[in-house]
Amino acid sequence: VTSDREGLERELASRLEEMAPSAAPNALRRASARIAATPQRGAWAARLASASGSFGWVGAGATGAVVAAALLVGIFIGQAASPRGIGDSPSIPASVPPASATPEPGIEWEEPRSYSFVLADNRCGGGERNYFGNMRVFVENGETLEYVALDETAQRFSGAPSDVPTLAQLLARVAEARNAADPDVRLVTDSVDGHPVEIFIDWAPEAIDDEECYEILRYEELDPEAGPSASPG
Amino acid sequence: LSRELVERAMRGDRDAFGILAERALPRLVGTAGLILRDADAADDAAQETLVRAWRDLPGLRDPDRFDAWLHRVLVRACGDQARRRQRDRNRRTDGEPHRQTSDGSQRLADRDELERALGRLNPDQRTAVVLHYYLGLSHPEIAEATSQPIGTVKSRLSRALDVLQAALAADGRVGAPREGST
Repeated sequence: VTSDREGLERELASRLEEMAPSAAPNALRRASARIAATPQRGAWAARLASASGSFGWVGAGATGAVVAAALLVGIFIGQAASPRGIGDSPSIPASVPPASATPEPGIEWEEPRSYSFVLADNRCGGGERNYFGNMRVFVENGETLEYVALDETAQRFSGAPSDVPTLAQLLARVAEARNAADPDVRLVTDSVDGHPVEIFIDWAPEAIDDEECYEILRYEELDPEAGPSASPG
Repeated sequence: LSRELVERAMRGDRDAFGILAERALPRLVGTAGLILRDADAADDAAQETLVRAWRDLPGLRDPDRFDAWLHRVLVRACGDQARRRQRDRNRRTDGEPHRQTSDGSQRLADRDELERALGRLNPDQRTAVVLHYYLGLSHPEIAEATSQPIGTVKSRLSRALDVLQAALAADGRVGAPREGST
């Protein structure tokens, strides 16, 4: 091995290629299983609609698909049960474990057929994701029907209503995080009806900028006949 | 084609993301393996990178920057993995001095002088070396991947080459580098 500088640089360029491991026996399989259980931000409705399928690129019959299917059953129970969405499910948070870091009133929230809330998302996460900002969200039959931007961040958000999570989908994300490897998850619920009022998820406590925190403000059940224009926030 | 795949993956197309993942995986594993010098850790870091990429992909602002963005995710995953392994090692060695690699991991062997010399670099230096000489990233690209100023990247690379040269020289003289010889 040469020790002069230019020779060393040539050596590095040629030898690192052969020194690098080329096989990752578990990475793809395990990643696919985890991804299958991870509805990403955005495209919530599309993801939920396809959640009952296996994660195709590992191949049918792979262990990962089995694991993924098992996780999906746990996470999306309630959503998958009804073709109309989660609104008909009697108890959405059934798969959500009790909060560990906050007082839990023990009241199980049932997602109403029609409701509205202000989603505040502008504090955690930093550079890796886009914020929703502050927006009033209208939900009907388990799907976000409409949102109204309340600040500049929300005005910049260009997604469809289905890209904005409902409260049930946020709770599913809490459940997903609690199934992850090493998360820090906090859920605060309303002491009267049990709806979530604050959610904090730190997917990897040792990583920066991967936190998510949401505040849910001014939650109200709506008369489904009145429609979202009745209270535009 | 890559941009189209990235855009499809951003919209939630798992098959598109699968193609991107399979394409990227060899480089992810190779890079992680060289940085972490541990096959199991590299496997875990690659897995974590793919999961985080899928999770955060909707926040990617420019689909054409997917590769650069993925490098950044990978570097962070390697950093997390290195800290986790160090923490585990510290736990294991509490009351068990000098016990190493008892978990059956496939630690990459120090096959020759260059590999041993790479082991003398600190993680930041090794990351810069791997990104530059293995992935072929430029200084600005490394700066973006590591979230460091370009000047820091240049100094890390320069210092890394100094350390490697010294380690190789010492290895050539005495057969094995000694602590503090750099």
